Amino acid sequence: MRACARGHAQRQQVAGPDRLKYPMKRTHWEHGGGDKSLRGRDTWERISWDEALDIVASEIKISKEKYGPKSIFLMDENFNNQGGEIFRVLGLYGGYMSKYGSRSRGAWRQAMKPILGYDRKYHNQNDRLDLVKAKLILLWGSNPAWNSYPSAMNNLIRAKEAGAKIIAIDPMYTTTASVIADEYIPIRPATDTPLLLAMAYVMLKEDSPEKPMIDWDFLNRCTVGFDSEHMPEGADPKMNFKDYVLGNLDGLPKTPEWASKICGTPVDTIYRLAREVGLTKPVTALFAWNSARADKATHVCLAQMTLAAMTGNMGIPGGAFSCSCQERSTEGGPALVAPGSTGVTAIKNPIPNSERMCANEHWRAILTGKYTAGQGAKKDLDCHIIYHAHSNIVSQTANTMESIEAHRKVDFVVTHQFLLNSCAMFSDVVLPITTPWERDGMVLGGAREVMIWTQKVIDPLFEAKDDGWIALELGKRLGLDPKEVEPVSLKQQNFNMLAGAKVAKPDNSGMETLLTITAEDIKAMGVEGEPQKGRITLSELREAGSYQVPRKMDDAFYYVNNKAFREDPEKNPLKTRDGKLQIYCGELAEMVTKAGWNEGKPIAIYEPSVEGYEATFSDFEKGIKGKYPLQVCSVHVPRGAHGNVSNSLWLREAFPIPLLMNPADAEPRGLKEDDTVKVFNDHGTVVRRLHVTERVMPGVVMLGEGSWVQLNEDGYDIGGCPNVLTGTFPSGPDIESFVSIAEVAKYDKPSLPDALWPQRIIF
Amino acid sequence: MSQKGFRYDMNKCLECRACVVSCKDKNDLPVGVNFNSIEERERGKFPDVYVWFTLKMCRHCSKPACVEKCPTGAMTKDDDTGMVYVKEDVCIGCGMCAKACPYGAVQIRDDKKKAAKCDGCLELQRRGELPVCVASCTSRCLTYVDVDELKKEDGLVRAVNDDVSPNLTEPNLYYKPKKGMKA
Repeated sequence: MRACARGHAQRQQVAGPDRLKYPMKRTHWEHGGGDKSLRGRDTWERISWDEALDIVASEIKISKEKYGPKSIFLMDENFNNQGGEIFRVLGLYGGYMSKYGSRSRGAWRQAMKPILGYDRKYHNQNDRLDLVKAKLILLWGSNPAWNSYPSAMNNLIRAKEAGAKIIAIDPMYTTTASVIADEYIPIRPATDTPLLLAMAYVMLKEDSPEKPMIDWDFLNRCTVGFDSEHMPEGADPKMNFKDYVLGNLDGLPKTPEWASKICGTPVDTIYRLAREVGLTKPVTALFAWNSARADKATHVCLAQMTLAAMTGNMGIPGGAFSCSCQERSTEGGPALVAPGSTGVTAIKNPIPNSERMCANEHWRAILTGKYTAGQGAKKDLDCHIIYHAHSNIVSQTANTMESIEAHRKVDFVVTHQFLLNSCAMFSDVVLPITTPWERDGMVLGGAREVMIWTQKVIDPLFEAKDDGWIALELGKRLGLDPKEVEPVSLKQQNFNMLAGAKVAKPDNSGMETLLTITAEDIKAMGVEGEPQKGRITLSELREAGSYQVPRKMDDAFYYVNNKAFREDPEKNPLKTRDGKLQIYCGELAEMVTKAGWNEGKPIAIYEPSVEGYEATFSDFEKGIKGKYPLQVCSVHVPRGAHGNVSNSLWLREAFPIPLLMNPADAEPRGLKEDDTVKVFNDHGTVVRRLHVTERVMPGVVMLGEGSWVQLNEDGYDIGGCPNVLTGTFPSGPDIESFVSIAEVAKYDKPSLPDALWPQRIIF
Repeated sequence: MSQKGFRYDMNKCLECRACVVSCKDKNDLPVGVNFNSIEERERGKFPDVYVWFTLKMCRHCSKPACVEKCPTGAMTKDDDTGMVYVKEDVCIGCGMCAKACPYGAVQIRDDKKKAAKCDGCLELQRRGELPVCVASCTSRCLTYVDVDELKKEDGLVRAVNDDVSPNLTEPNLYYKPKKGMKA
């Protein structure tokens, strides 16, 4: 394993001059908020830890007593069970308003359970070593060279060397495509379903015994809803996928000609792609979550699974239609090594889950005092405090401008942070915390074959404290029992995770203990525990930093997803309503409708996003463009992991994040390379330098995500945060929408490259 | 004198820039001072685009123009490795080296008024380690070997894009051009 550029820049994150050193308070904050409009542009005052903690505790107390616990909106995260300390404090103190919903996995997070019976990160992927058995690999919106290198790239390179053809389908000729793809096929953002439907159309029209494209055996045995003959109980037989695609349902056949007008993929390319995917066996199609990270995008999940079933690419070597993201990029199968539990039991929020609000409308809810609570139901919200722990969501959720407004409405905002990120910037009190390098380590699982143990490298800098210490101090001030606030120390939590770590036996017959731990180890770590025997010693793990399960081709860990189900679906049913793959998914449609924003559809019926391609027209049918004629596509870039390390000057210099635009769009606007431009719509305006490139599809501009919002005197974001351009478009069950449209024009004020900006140094 | 060289496989480079940032970290370089970089080039029209990435760094030439032009002897070629480095205590910051280098691999640092360039991480090499750019390369497209080995390998070139003729300074960065690239 080798570190990425972000890893090499850690020194600038931990020990840079912009590291937050002391607790601090916004100069013009006073109880009740003071001049709230100054949030994000006020000056800061250094205060003592005692003063800071007293303020936070007192604000929590007053808010709870005056307005009830729901007035405190807590944005905490529970990262590998190592965070979530404030969940405990506020949970013990009477509760807090919390959120639910996807911020990253789009519709995939909730849709797969009703469709397939499981919801997991590796989705439908086979073993990474199985990729070499694929004859054709589709990279659908997937660019691992920018966001999950290098192991995913190595797996794909190996597949290519074994003879797989690789086709990249994307609004951009990506770096991944430039390195490994044999063919590149353009598609507009958030129009994946029309392309999938048109492929299905071609297969339905051209499938024949001589040239079989459709796996009727799989469809008939393992799925419901494909045609009127195979409908689930109680469903309207007319409402089947085949009739929808052929146009029998709505009079509109989903032809390549129909799709091309929406998705921008040339008509003949769609025919060719459909034939190639239909006639090549087996095919692995790897989608990124972005394809369904758009409002109402459950149709993408349904369409993907329908194509998988039609082509029979499930349960066979080399065949899978799946998402492929993060640490599970190109990597399917149950974990072969995993940490144990921390030994901490979560504190239940006394405010029940039914009171939560959706992450994709919470800013609007704070502003309007109302939030959606199911079909036809609204609930009241009287929010007075926003509490950020383990959070950078001002930049990282849709509608950053509304988020700023919400932060400027409440009485008090507090953030735990080690840098002045977007959340800290719009706060009243900022509590300086340690980075992972100053803490008692972390034990990380998640990848199939690797477990990582990060260890403390340096003592906490300046006055930085662990989140756990803050929780204890707040608990003290709120009259909580410290044993309940922190029942297990961080050090002991780590030890518990290490001692409980399991690894697959070499013959894959079960799991066994990973670590040998001696009485001396336990004493040296200063924890409680019993000596144990395992595969490797604790000092071996400490030395290596990680444990990787050795792999060989065709070893015992080789994994093909849903193999048993395919072989005998009656004996090995999926955990769906009737045990089969739901091409017609009544349960999903009901979930969507019940959530309260839009009506759910049980089959892959395409519905455009509110601000999708169609919205770039004032009259789509006549082809007349509207005032925001460009689609904005935000992408992961190698500069940061979302908002993390976005402060590093080395990374800013190495990865400048310009706005990417095709010359066909730049020329008519009189724009040229390195111009300073503004990208604007009704939500906000972002200022960026321009990179004119043939790599981006005409009509689409691309902007890397992760930059911290920074408003200038015109109210424009010079930070380059794409969510300044996204709106609030929640849809069921809980999907975020990062889809937006905009216009681009020259900005008359010059801009410095990001690497030359002043750093956010407070003291 | 033995001569080491760098082999850069343009087919495998992911433009991940681990080499760039690890170099900044190891050498503690401020913004604007860079011993290496990755350049992106493209040709063609969407959707038929061809893109390639090129590592730019000191070539540690066998006939280094910077050493030749240096009036003080500060620019030095290491006997054991052939790496070209600056003896800072001797350098007067006159900039002759920077002017002479046809690869733009030497700069005069504003803050120090001294020549600054890649030294092949000699300090690490003397401890038996690899130059940090090589050690950090995530796709293993950059390797560091005896130049005699590189001379034997078919398909390697010493000039790509708009590089000057290798006859000029005999550079020791060997490129494996990307398939389909006009070398």
